Amino acid sequence: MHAQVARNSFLSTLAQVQGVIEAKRTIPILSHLLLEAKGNTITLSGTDLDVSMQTSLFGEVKQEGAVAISGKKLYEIVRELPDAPIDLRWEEGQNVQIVCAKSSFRLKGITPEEFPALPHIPEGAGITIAAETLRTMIPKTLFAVSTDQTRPTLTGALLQAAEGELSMVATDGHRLSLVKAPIHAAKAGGAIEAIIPRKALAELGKMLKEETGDVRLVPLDHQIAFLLNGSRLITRLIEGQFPNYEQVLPSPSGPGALLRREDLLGALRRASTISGDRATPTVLELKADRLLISCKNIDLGEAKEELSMEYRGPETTVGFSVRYLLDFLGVVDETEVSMHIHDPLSPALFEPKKGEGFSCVIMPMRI
Amino acid sequence: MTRAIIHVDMDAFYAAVEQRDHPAYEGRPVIVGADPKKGKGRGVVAACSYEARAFGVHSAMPISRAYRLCAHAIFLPVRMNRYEEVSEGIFGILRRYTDRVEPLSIDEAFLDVTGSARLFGEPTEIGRQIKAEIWREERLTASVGVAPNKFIAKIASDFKKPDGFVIVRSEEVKTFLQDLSVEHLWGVGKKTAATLRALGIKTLGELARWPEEAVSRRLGMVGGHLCLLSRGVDDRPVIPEAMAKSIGAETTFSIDLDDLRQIRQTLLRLAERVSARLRREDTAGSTITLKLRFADFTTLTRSLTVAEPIALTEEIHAKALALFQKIPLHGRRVRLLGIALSKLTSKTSPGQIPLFPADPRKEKAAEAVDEIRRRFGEAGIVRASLLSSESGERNR
Repeated sequence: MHAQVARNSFLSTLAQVQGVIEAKRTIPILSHLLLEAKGNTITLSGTDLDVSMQTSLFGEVKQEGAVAISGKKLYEIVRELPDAPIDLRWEEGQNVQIVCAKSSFRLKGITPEEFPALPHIPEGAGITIAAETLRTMIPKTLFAVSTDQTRPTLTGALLQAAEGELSMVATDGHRLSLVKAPIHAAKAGGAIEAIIPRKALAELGKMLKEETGDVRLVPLDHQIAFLLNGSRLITRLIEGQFPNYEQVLPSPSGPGALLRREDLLGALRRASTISGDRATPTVLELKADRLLISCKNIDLGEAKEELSMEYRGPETTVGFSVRYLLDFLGVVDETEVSMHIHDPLSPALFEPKKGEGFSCVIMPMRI
Repeated sequence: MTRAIIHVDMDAFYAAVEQRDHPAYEGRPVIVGADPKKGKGRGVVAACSYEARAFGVHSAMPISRAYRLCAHAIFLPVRMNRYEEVSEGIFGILRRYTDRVEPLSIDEAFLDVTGSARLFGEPTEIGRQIKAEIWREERLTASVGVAPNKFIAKIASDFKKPDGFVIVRSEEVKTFLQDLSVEHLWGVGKKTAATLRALGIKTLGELARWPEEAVSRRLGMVGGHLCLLSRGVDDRPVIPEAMAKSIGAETTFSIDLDDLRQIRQTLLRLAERVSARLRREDTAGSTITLKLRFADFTTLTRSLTVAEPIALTEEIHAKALALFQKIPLHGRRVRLLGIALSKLTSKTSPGQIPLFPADPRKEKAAEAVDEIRRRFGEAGIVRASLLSSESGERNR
């Protein structure tokens, strides 16, 4: 293999792919990236066997071929190289030679045959959605994905596509985030229901960054592939039953309370300095036209905030884990948010004022 | 009704733990306490082994004095965390026989086993088993006294220390106390002893023969109490610790284990026990701790905290397994396993409410199992996955 690539585009491609490879090197090949030179493209692939990513860039191929190189080292080297063409060369039985301007490196390579094969993706199958739409859905669900490994089905987001609509939902058992968007009706294919692991979601977010065009979602056997402009991400799905989330979605009755996002975020951030850990509830007192926020921490002291708001419902007092409220407000793009609180022991609904298919359900804390 | 009270007192506790943890110290004088600084240290002796006591060293003695008496002793700093850890294990053993355990200190406790006879046998048998289990599981000796009340039980445990085992039956109380000096009475110091001696009272037998009023006239209120004690009358109850900070169960295997299936089953059995106790106390815990001791006595504890308190067997078992799987075994055999839940809260105490309510049927099923066991004993109902298991455990 012998090829030349531009340093900057090589670096950004590397940055994207190396996120999926294994940090812990239990199986050496999984810490490696596969470099393939063919035609006028260089394709980079990485996998940890659960999540695989493949992406390509333009390169001048002098001799076609492939080799696997330590992803971390290659990334570290390219990051430090000057902006000049990089020459990559490898022959069986030798080290990989990397030359850029007056720098040269020799890195151990592994023959491409040892690299795990990525699944074949059938042409034209699956459904499509605008990259921009899917990109905004990811951060709105990722924050609510559980990290508790003893409840595996919650460690991913449920992706459902049916009847012209794509929905993503994530929950950690205390709060839930649901986001919906229309699929291009003309291209809508079969229904999809899949739990996407947290890592795949995060990497998908990176892959969609600054990209335009349509993402194609292709369900495979126990896997799903996301394809966009020559990049692809394939992930194993989480097996098991996602909780029946629809039963806990509160139905918004009446207009609820309306607040400026900035104001609420600021007040809660200040209160959160006192709340310390998750065990301390932040108390919301809903009065007519007024929201009182307070937080008492026996070890520290207390914080109080007052906000004006539009509210015509009954007065009520409810406690929340402030982090859950902050997480929601952190991903809202709108200037106003609505809050539907039924009673101190039932799920509360938080939404951007205009809705836009984004809802967050937060279970209160007992005070 | 005659009560059955057991007093358990560990022998030279801190020093014994050090000798056990460091086999090289065995049989040598060990003094735990302040740094002697070659005789210039200023602290005191916290505990010393019986080998050191032979040189006249005793606890609370200035460390400098101990150094002069026994300079060749092994002087060690106090490792309170370690002793507490061991103490927990010992109290775990005591609580197998009754929940009426009153800790007096880290290494000393009263047990009221009056109601335990039907389940565990006669009080003397329980005392014997406690001693044996402490030795088997902790490699430490305890002195045990069994008597109809706290006062006599405490004297009895001290009677043949170390490794003592003294039983005083109701009918033997009088003879047992007869010749003991009055200093054995709680609250009798040098001054009171001198007053009594002036009356010609040196032994408990002599005190017992005096009329109560006569003693009270000279000693005040306390006199009456002392008279009662001297006749072996003491009805102070055993007061269990107000509220347990943690609820746990542990078990030591008769053969050190390396079979993962058996370990998993044991964790399930422990989870069941902890779960039943949590339900009995109407509580749930959010921190779960797994304790693991290898054949070489190295002990590890690993814990994790969950956002919602848990109490069901399945949940406890899942977390315990998750903790266990993070411990590299390196082929080592397991001697002891334990599960404990702490950060206990009741169902109505403050905290995060789950979004998806737990299936009430699971709780109902667990309660039904508890009820069956209450009526027909532990074997009245058994999980299918535990049916095939040879428990290999030494104790319940």
